[in-house]
Amino acid sequence: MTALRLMTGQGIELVGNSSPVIELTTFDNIADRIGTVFALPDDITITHVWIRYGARVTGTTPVQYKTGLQGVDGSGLPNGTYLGGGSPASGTFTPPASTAWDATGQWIALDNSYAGTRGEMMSHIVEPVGDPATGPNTSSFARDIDIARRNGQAIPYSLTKDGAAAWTKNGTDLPIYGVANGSPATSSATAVFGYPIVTANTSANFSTAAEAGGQLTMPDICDTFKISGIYFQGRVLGALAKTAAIHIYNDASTPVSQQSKTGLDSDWCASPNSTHRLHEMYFTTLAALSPGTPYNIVVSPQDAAQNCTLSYIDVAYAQDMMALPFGTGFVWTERASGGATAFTAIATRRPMLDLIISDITEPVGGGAGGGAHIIGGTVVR
Amino acid sequence: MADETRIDEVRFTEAGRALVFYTDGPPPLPEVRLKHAKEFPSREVLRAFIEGEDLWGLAGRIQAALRPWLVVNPQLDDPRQAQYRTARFETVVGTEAP
Repeated sequence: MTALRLMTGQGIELVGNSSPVIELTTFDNIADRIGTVFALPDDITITHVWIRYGARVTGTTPVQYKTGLQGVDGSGLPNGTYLGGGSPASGTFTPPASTAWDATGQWIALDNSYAGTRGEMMSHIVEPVGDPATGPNTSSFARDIDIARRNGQAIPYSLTKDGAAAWTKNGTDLPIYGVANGSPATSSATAVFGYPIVTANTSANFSTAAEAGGQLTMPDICDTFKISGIYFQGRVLGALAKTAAIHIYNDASTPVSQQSKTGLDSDWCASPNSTHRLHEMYFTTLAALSPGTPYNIVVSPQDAAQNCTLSYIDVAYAQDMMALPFGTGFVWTERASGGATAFTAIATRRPMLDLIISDITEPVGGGAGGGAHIIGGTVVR
Repeated sequence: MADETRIDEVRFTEAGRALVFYTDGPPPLPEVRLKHAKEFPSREVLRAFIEGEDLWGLAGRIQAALRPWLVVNPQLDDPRQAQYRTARFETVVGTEAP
């Protein structure tokens, strides 16, 4: 059996005892900047860029800001010139004088689109147009996600510029940014790249018959496939001989388990009450699953007060998921009780749960090329 | 984040998020306070972070900055911080089990 582990939270590694935290920079000087240097994954006409607002830090009336795409100089810094020449790929926006944008992702339309090419290095910039020091009316913007023990970011990377000082690169944290053709905010995107992640969190405790995990709809690139295991970040409270299970259900009104593994007890590897542990688990008997059909791959507590948790990341709009592996085909799923209770999917939430996929069969009639196509094609990007 | 990390201010939003404003290095000039912040999605996550249950790499350093501030109760050069410490910050530091 050849198994492929497909990361479902690309770049947001599963890390035990970890809670990714959003990092913010406050613009309190008209010369302040934040940026991200990245390589464009594909040919795309970029019409929108994504920013993640923090909050109004001082004052009530934010100033106007500009965002857009610049080139990269030989030192890996934004070169100060917006791409597009006389038709610069930039746009302006003014955060509202309210909390409406707090901790949200916003897609900003560029005044002029930019035809990027695969592999092109470019930078995404946010800069003030008005002077936030007047008032002052300062606002914070998110620049990256601080991830436990990651500590080794090369490309892409975020940068900050504090007033007149030079740009400072961040070699530790994962930048959050986004570029798109069309706007996910209006469900009109045809391509989305980057990490348009609004926040990362851990679920509330779920116990007894409640279940949570990911709902996968495999793209139609194979005849059948199997999921031999999962790798997830969360808690499975093992106190008092309590155990959990993992299941794959179909997505019927009365879900039917397609395969499972019972007896998962975190007493084996961690003390009770531990948070954010990593669990690599394998199913016993594997069912042949079909592309184009949603399946609910979940963690299933078995006892009251067992208090399982599962970590996740949130995006602002369902189409933002297009930037992540599996795209919109892998989202959060949950139900409060078992039996004849259907699962509810959350299109803007991605569980911190990787799938170990095996036994992929070629499409009937050939053509798609089997497993190798999956790695390089639709699923990963 | 440097070992000299100084917590400038902690704010909790109506939506339940926690913003921890910090400055690296010696006490900042007033104009550079509130420059950088970490946003925690909930008070529970921040509390776990402070209580050391969530020992990811950076936690130890920010925890080192937070604990003396909470436990030793040092003199704060900005009187507004006392408000956050007593009226806001302590509300998330509990001892109950998760």
